[in-house]
Amino acid sequence: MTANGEPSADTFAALHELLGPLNKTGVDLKPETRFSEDLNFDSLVVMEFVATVEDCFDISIPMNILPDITTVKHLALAVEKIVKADRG
Amino acid sequence: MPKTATSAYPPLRPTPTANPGLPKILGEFETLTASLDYAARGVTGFNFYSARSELSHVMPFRDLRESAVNHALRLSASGIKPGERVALLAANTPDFLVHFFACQYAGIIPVPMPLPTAFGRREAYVAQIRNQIVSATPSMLLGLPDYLPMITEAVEGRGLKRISTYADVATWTETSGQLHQARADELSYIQYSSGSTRFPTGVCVTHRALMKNCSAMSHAVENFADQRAVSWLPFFHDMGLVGFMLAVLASQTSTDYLATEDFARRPLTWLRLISENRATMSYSPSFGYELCARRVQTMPEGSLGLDLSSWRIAGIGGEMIKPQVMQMFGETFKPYGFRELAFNGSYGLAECVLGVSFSRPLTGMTLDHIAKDGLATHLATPVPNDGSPMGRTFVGCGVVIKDHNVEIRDVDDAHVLGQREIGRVYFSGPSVMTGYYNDPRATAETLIDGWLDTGDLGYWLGYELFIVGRAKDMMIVNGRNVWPQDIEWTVEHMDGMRSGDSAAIVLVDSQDNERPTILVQCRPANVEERGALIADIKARVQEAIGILCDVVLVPPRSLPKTTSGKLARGKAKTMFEAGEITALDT
Repeated sequence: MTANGEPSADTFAALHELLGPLNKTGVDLKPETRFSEDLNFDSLVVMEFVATVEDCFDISIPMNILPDITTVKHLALAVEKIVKADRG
Repeated sequence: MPKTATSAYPPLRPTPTANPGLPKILGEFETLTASLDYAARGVTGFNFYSARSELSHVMPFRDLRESAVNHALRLSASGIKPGERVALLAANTPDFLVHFFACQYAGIIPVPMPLPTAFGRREAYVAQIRNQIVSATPSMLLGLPDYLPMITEAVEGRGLKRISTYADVATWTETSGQLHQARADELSYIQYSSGSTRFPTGVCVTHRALMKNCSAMSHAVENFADQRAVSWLPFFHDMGLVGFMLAVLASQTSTDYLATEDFARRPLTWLRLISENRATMSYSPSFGYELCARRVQTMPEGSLGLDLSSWRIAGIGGEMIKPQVMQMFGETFKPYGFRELAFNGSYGLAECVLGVSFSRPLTGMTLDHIAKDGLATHLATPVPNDGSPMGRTFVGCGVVIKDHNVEIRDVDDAHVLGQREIGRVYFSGPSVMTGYYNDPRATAETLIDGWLDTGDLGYWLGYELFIVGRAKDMMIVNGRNVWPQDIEWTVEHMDGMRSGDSAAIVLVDSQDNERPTILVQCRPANVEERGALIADIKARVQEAIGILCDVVLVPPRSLPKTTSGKLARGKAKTMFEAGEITALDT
């Protein structure tokens, strides 16, 4: 994570690619894109997506952080935090 | 305490399926504690697996009893008295089970609380917890450390004496006090799996009702000595809590658990566990089978290495059974030894503890094709299964459990109906709830002269019960109960909306999918504004309720009202389906 709390372009690009096939509403994917409101993710799609993110980054995303993740940017920051903690 | 896998110990082994020397008793106990006392004399128990199907905890019933008794004494020493409620965050962890049973030995009434499952929606989750706490008025809440900040926010100002983690209880003082001797007519637990999220109703379950239902269910699924169960169902739903924690324990059945979120992420782990442990019984709503079948289609053929031939009871329950989904699953997994005859349609609800009817094991699904207008004519008229849009296929939910009765009564004059006549389903017998906790009004509306109004519509075909829909308004979306009132409340609290402007209903599309739909009275005449309004409503409902709805705009004052001025939801649906309310152009 960079000092100003912005996710890196690489993380966002990776999430962008994973989101592609799940983007049924066809919105432009931006850091502020919201999972519920803009992408219409229901809880089953959320879990499928979480699994692909975990596989891609080789991490485990704890369930208790989900309620605080509203946008792609929130997820990118959370992923970077977990990656950093895992890799020391 | 549960044993944990570390490299210093030999590899863990799950509890065995066979229980030599301890005759199987199918729930014929006075109380839940008596059933655990008995199960603890054998070698069977609960096993917890990771998302990658690695065994992480083994908890023989003997160890579960020991931990539960120990923690019961700590809970009692902390000042909680018999009859008080304790809210337990119902994670799929050994801790939850230990404390659920600790409450039983202390005479305390546990109230399982849900876990969050979606992105965002923190507010909605906190509100759900708060509403359940307001209803159940527990003295204490126990949970997992990761969730406590959110939970603490939810229960603020509700007068709880203590909020703590499960792990913390182990450090509390243990006294040498007496265990509570549970009586059959005392409450064993309160379950909030029905009712709206805004106005939750807690089902009160006594030890007697619980044991009667557990026993009847175990007989229905022929729980013999070789039975082994696998479950990923959440413990805050009746199917997970009763079916795969309490009924399996009351029949001394070894059970292997996968956490719900791990199933949702990696559904095939469920099947892998069944295959590896030679399990015979596992349940899911239709969507669980669908997830697996869909996931396999993206994988190379034959790459799974599964053997599902041991699976005898592939139970389906928790929502309307979708026959096409089940057939797709059956065909997909036939090469892996899955038997379609194992499909077991069933029906139940928390107000009857859990189970009402089950199919006979290894008889497969009974399909009945009836005319689609049956709901209007109240007759299930058989039609040829030729894919005509005038027909709809229903799956039989089996025969009523022993010692209990079901009546199907006329929707208008309540006379008892016969074969193929569609009416309201009523249930009576020893496993009916005593009522909703602290809610005499809701209780009186549901329990009438010893009969429970299930709120569902159904018909008889021979001795088999078919459920065709709901007379009450509740919707079931992916196994979750959703109340139209909650959806309408959300819509009507948006800017520019008024009370009575919306009706949330379920429509059935041409593929027999149930689609939650909101009819909304719309004032803007401009097509662009209407498009934006639809998007806004969808987004707001998605955020507040967590489901994706179709939104249909209708003219102002087109939704019908009752004489008392309330929305006539059922009539709105009939009128819309009949074309008497027409959608505005968008």
